[in-house]
Parts: sequence; structure tokens; C-alpha cells
Amino acid sequence: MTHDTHKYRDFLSIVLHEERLYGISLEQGELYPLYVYGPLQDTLDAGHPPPLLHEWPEYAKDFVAQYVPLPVILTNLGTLISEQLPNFPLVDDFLKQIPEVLLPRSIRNDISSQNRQGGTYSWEQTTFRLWPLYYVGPGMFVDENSDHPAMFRPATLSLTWLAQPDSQNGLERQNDGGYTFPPPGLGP
Amino acid sequence: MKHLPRVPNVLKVEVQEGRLYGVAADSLLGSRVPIYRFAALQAAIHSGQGVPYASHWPEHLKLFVYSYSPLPVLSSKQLPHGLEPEFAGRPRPEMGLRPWSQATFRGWPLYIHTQTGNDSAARDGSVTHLFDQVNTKLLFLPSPESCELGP
Repeated sequence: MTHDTHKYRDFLSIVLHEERLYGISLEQGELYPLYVYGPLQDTLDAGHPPPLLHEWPEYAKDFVAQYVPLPVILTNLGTLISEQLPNFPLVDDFLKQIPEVLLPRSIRNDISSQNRQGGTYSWEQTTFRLWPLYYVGPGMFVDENSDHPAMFRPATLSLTWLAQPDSQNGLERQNDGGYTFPPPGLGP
Repeated sequence: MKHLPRVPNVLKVEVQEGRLYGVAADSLLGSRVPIYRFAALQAAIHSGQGVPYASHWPEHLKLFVYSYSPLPVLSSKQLPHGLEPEFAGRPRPEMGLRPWSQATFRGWPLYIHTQTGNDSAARDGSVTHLFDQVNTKLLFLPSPESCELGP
């Protein structure tokens, strides 16, 4: 299976409907249900968090590659503005604050991002309560009536914050001897 | 792992709406559970790589893969009428955690999941999953001897 998915769609914002999170695509204004990798907390607790996609075994990669990391909303705001409003003054600091302002207030403090540098999908990925978010498609969807347990799950408001495990196994050690949580580049 | 895997207690295999289910007498499984194949197996064989058995999967995936338990070989009276010849068995590694012989359907090793869930057909265009419920339209798995056919 091949994917032309080393690019991402641009997203306008994140919205909620019946407790589920959706991204709105900038281009088409379509809703994309958002997902989290279900086993993530368990794997952290066990000290074996998943690596980014390119380090997954071949026999499981194609499945996971269908779930595309949600980029930070309005990542390309500067480019958009300069294309559509050529005389608009672009100020970096100003541009960087816009996406946060456009997030729904109820989840603004739950939204952050994580770095995926070096990965197959290498853009900055949005996280919700520290869980990395993914979308599927276009042209594909997750059939939520089918019985495929244990992997990606819908991102909902009932999601509890990703928790630092008691043991430090598998966490990234910092120079001062402490550990970062969450570790960088949480997969897939 | 909290405890060693046990052989799933499946009494028989049934077909409903073209899909395979196991009927179990086990409170852990519930009364009727979908029977799965590891869908990515064919592509893995085609690439020449095969799929390792579960104990050789990466650590971060072990919880996931161990939740799919190999269906043991059943006798023909436990199999759906008319489909008995399509079922066979294959040995599993003795040193693994699930060393019992595993049932196959048209060459595809069979699994059940050790949690209950919904059971409906996946619609066209939907995301393909690592493990897929077995459909009676499934084609034979061409399997060269040189590949490992895990998990």
C-alpha cells in the first residue's frame, strides 16, 4: 500500500461535537474526526513508548501510516495571508498567537504540540491533554461500528491527561538527571 | 504480562453473514467472538519479510499483539458445515507463549481477541486494520516455506 501522505492538510481549527474532537480542513472546510493512539498510556507505563512511524516494523507500518498526525492549526498562516492579502503586514509574533486565539476556549489549555523531526511525517503535531492527535483520509474513514479493538480511538473530552508513569523506564533523561515528560517524539 | 496465555476455549466456529465467529463457553470471551486473521500477512510474505511470532515483536506492540490469541485446531464437527475442508492447522513455536497448534482457514492463521466488542462488517473505503475479521470469500494465502507466518 502506498500513501501520498508525506504532506499534511492545513487545518483551520478544532471543534467539538457530542464530546468528540474534529479538525476543520482549511481547503474544503470538511470535518475530520480526530484520533489518539489507544495503547499509548499503557506503553508509557510499561516503559516502552511507541517510536515514530519510520521505526515501526514493516508488517505494521502501512496500517499506522493511515493515521496522519494533525498539524498545528493554521501552520501556514503567513503564506496564506501573503497569497490572499499581499499588502497585509506580516509580523511573526502576531502570526504565532493567532492559532491559539482561534481554538475553542474550552479546550485551549488542553492543546499543545510535539516535535516529530526526522520522522516520515515530520511536521509539528497537535496534542490534546498530551495525547498526539491524528486524522484519517481524505477518501478513507474509520468504520466505528467494526470490531477492531485496542488501537486508535476517537479523541473525546473524556480523555484523561497522559500521565507520567511512576517508573522512569524509557523516558528521556535530561542533563540534570531529571526526565522529560512526555518524552519527545511520542509515536506513532 | 500478568499471567500466561491460556488456550482459548472455543466450542465451535460459525458463519454469519459471510463472516467467521467462534462460539465460546468462557466468561472471558463472551458467547460469540469474531475470528480474525493478521491482514498484513500477505503483503509481508510478498515482500519476502514475513511476520515474526509475537515474542519477537517490538516491546511497544507486545500488549497489543498478545491480546489476539491463536485459535486452537478444532475437530471437523466443530467447524461450519460445508467449510470443513478449508480449515487446517499449523504448529507454533514451542518456546513461545502460545505454543498450541493454531487453526488456519485457507492457509490464514486464525485468532480471536481476548476482549469483547461490536461485530459488524467494515464498510468500503474504511481504514484497513492490522487484524481483520475473516470473511468466507477470503482467498488462499500463498505461503512460501521460507517466511515466518506470525504473529
